[in-house]
Order: sequence, then structure tokens, then C-alpha cells
Amino acid sequence: MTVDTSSDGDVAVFFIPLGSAHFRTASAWLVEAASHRAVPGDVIDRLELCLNEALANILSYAGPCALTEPIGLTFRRTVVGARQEAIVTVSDSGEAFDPTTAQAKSRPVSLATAEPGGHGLIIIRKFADSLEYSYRDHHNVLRFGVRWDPAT
Amino acid sequence: MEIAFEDVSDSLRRISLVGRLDIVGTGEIETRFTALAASTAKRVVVDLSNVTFLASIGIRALISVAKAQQQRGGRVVLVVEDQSTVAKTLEVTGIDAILPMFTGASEAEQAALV
Repeated sequence: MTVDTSSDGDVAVFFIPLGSAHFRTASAWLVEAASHRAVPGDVIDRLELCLNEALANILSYAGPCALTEPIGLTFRRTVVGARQEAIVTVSDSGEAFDPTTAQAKSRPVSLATAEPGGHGLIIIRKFADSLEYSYRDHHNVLRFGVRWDPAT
Repeated sequence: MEIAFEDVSDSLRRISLVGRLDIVGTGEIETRFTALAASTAKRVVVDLSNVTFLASIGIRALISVAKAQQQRGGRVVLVVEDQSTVAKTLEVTGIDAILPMFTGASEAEQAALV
């Protein structure tokens, strides 16, 4: 069950409880928020992948303190120089985990040596054009954005 | 998430997945997918052309069955829609280097039998 939602101009805000059952609700909110603001479909696809992996990381690493508050999601469309950018910010009350510096799996060289898991960080880093993390007031704040040319 | 299969021959199985391979969708099919794709030595074509979303947990499932199949002497190849986000996800994670990817089913079946 979602806790709250709001939308104002180029910004939309949403909250979900921590749990895999709410990932699709979060995805649906993102698609709606971005589509409503005329964000291109391929940009939305990339944002949705990053959001899914960010939520999966919270589920995996945040610990029980992440259950004390809902996860906050913010969508914002903005301008960066001559380009447009759609930005998603994910905030949780779990233990500190920095996806921008955590060691990601290296690219697999063979099926025999490949590890099945650990590709989420790669997905976030490859699909996001901007990626920032901070830990403040006992909250992880992850911000990722995807940019596009207005003409496309 | 939907899963279906067809035994094209004694040694070749085609598995079709439809829907979202996110944490929910993967959970829905993982047990059956593993049983169909890795329980006996076969050449397996996994058709992802109707998968609309592929998260890392879906990649985990694909690698797990491919590794299990390889250990049995079999082989797994993938069918993906050209230029799709699913194809791009497999490319950026390097999975295309260890699991052969094709855009056509017949091409994939031929490659699986090599």
C-alpha cells in the first residue's frame, strides 16, 4: 500500500513501504510521472531499471532500520545545459550503502566463472547518466538521472 | 509472468517467457524455469523476445540455469528482440559475451545445436 503521493509541476513525490511486493507499484508511479511530463520512452525504461535495482539494493543491504520509515521517491524533470534530464531520488532510512563506490562485479569472461548475482550496480551505473549518493540525517539519498536531447 | 516450453526434438527445448523478469516475475517462474531449463542435459533456447523488463534478478536466473546446463553438458542460448532494453541490459552487463544472443528463433536453435 502506498503511503502518500503528490505531484506539482515538474516534480512528483511518492512513498512506498520496503518490500519487493511494492516494486511494481513504484515502477508504475515512475512510468506515469515521467510519461505525464513527456519523457521519452527509452529514457523511462532506463530510469525504471535503475529504480528497480536501487530498491533491490535497499532490500538487500539496508537492514531492519529501513523498515521504520517508508522509502521516499521523487521524480523531477529539469534542464542541464542544452539537454533535458529526468531525475529520480530514492531515500531510505536503512544502513548506509553507497552504490556509487561499492565494488561492482567485473564483466564475466566465461560462463564457467561467471557469478549469477551482482549485476544491479552495473545496471545502475551504465544506464544512469548522472549518479550521486549522500548519507544525511540517518538516510541514504541516491539520485540518478538520464539525459536526452530535446530534438530526439 | 508466463512460461511455456516446447520440445523441438529429443535434444532441443524451447522455453518462452512472457512478462517482466523483475523480482516478482522471476519469483513466479524461477522454480519451473530451473526445472525445465536445467534438470536434464539439453540444448535450450530461452526466448526473451516477449520479456518487457529484465532486472538483475532475472539475469541471475538466466546465468544459474546456463551454468547448470553447461555442467551437464548442455547449452543455453537466448532469443531477444533487436535493440530492445532487454538486449541492452544483457549487453551492458556483459552477459551477451557468455550467453549467445540471437534475434531470430531459427538462428538460435541452430546455434544451440552446434
